[in-house]
Amino acid sequence: MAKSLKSPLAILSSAAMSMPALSASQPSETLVSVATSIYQEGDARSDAVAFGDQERFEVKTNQFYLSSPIGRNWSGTVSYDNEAMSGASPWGTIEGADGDYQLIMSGASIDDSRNGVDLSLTRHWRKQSIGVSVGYSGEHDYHARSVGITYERDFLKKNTSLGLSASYSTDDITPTDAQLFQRLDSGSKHSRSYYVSINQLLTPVAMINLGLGLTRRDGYLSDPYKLRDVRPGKRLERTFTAQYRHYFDWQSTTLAANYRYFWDSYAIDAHTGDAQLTFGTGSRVEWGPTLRLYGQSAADFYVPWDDYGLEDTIAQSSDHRLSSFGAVSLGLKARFKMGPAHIVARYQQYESKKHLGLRSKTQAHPGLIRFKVFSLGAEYRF
Amino acid sequence: MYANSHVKGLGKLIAFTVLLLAGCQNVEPWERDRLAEPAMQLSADITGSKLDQQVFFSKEAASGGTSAAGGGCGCN
Amino acid sequence: MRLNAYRFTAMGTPCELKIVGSKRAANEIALRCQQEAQRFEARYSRFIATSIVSQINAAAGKIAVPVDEECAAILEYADICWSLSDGLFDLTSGVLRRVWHRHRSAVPTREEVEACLALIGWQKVRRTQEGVLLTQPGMELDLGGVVKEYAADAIAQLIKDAGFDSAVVNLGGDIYCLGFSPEGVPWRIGIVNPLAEGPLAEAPLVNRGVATSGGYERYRVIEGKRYSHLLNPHTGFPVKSLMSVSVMAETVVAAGSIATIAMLKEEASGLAWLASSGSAYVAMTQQGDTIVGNPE
Repeated sequence: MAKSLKSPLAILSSAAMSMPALSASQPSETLVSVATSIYQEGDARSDAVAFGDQERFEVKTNQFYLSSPIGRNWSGTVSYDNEAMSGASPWGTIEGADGDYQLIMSGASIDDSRNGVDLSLTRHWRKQSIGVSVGYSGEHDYHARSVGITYERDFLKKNTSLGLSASYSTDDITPTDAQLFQRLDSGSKHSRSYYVSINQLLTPVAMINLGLGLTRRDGYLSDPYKLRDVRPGKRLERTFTAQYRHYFDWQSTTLAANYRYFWDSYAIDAHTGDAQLTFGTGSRVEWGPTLRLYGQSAADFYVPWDDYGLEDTIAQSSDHRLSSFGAVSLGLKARFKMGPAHIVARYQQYESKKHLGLRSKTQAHPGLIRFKVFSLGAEYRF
Repeated sequence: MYANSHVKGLGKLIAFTVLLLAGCQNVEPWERDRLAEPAMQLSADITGSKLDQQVFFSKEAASGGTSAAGGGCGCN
Repeated sequence: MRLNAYRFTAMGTPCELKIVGSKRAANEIALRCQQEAQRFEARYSRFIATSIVSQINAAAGKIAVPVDEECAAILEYADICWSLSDGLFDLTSGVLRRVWHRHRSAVPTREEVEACLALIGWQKVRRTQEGVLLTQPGMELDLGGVVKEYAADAIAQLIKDAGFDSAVVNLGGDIYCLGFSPEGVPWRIGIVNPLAEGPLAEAPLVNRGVATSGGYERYRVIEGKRYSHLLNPHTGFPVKSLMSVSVMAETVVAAGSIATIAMLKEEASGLAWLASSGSAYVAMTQQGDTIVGNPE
């Protein structure tokens, strides 16, 4: 047995907790969390806009989250989110006079809100747990319902954990002003998603989680608000994720480093890497920087500007989110602890960059965005 | 629609995973105090992660990676 | 809310429960507690032929006996105690009883003790997927101490899970106090004074356990000299340790192990062990001095 710096009492107490009658596998505390945040996109460059409003897009979000043990063997969570969106967004892209691309922005502001509720219930046993979840998200023109199931199992005295989950969701869209703008009347899509992960403790200060995900979407996948956006009726998405955590005694610093590789049937490949350092882990003030790098290749039906000459059954989209681009995001996070009450503040600044895109052949899309998010939250544990 | 390179990549990935897991030491329950710190958990900031996921989902083509996909929204 | 008291015998020792609540609910849970105590006895007593311990002892030197998760966890816990105590806490040391039993009128010879020592050693216990094997015939496991302390914690957990928030579980001196007493103040448990009437000290306990290890009640007198019932598994001879030790901790089993290990060491090392253990304790030396330690 390795020598430990801990007192005999600490060692024996945690060993006692591993005994069957005394070990509780479900979470032992109740957490209530509320947060409010504001998301602001940078103004579209005026020379990049051919027609339409330039009012910048903004979202205000309020979130509520509660998780609690229920009895000795169960736990549950409830979350509610409300988003209020305003501002203009791109309807399409045309070729400009100089051969560059220009945006057509929506005229009137979008003033829309979204409400989402998610509930989950989990049954815990000593080494495993099963959970079910349901969710609903609604906007005046969009409704989504989902159900999911999750299974987790521990092995080797909890050094290794296996997780399996699956979910099914149905989304319906009924675009506003369908008649007026000759949009789709209504459409729906179904998504089936599967996920498997392994969590492994590596050393007393390091842990890694590896995951594989598969999602299949069928139905109406196009954007009805764009002037010409035709996407394949099926999309298969795959992800591989690695999440690493390391604790350094220097300044009680925690490193959280994550990587995701995404590849789908639209021929999009994307790499995402993010890292966060937290200084003062466990002390009254925890703070630190965050960095995120993202790069994606274009969808195989992406076009730089809308081609009305093509049949409207042939896949094409000039949506900047399907183009080749990359993004860098820098942020700062701080947590102030006052006993069971915590205050959390976060700021993030995101900048899209054409040259970080994968296999890019074309010019930068004028719709590439930059944004800032600021959020403030409070948590209470008991 | 699997490209051959993707299948080979997955094979390398699985081999890497097996080697990685074979090489780790056994961490005893009383050695887990630092691993148990809230900041070390994958679920460290649930509210913040949900917000990030929502923001990135609506601005980028890639999504998911940490669980089976939940419900959607009109934002993508 | 009334205080309901119950008494029964289990694991060879008098047991007492105090449960605050309605009489009917308290009666129900008290019965379940008694059954649980009897289950522990049936499962782990070396005096009962069908217990897992007796099965393991009977198969010593022959074959591994499969054990369930609870037994495996108890043995794993004992392994940690063995490491922490540099081998003094050893569940195989019970065989020394044979040469030191109460009715002997003489001190055992070197040869007798050495023959016994050959059968002692936790490292000679092999625990694998197949089960537990005592590698030498004649070896014996004695889980008595650990199981009684663990049972106190398990029974207290049973009462807590049933919805009660105020109770005391006392299994022959291994005590767990759940919540506050009916008067709204911490439960006050008196630590026995081995030399005089009245308690040595009173420990205020809320959701904590206290366990006592003492040579004052069980010792032998041979040729006019007093010998402790606690035997050093390395030398085979009784330890000249503290007179008694009581330790307070979040679980009775952790408190009991710290107290037992303190009593297996010579007096001075025992006190040093207690001081560095991180727990609160009350110890009495052979001279009759009381030492109180508190981690805060």
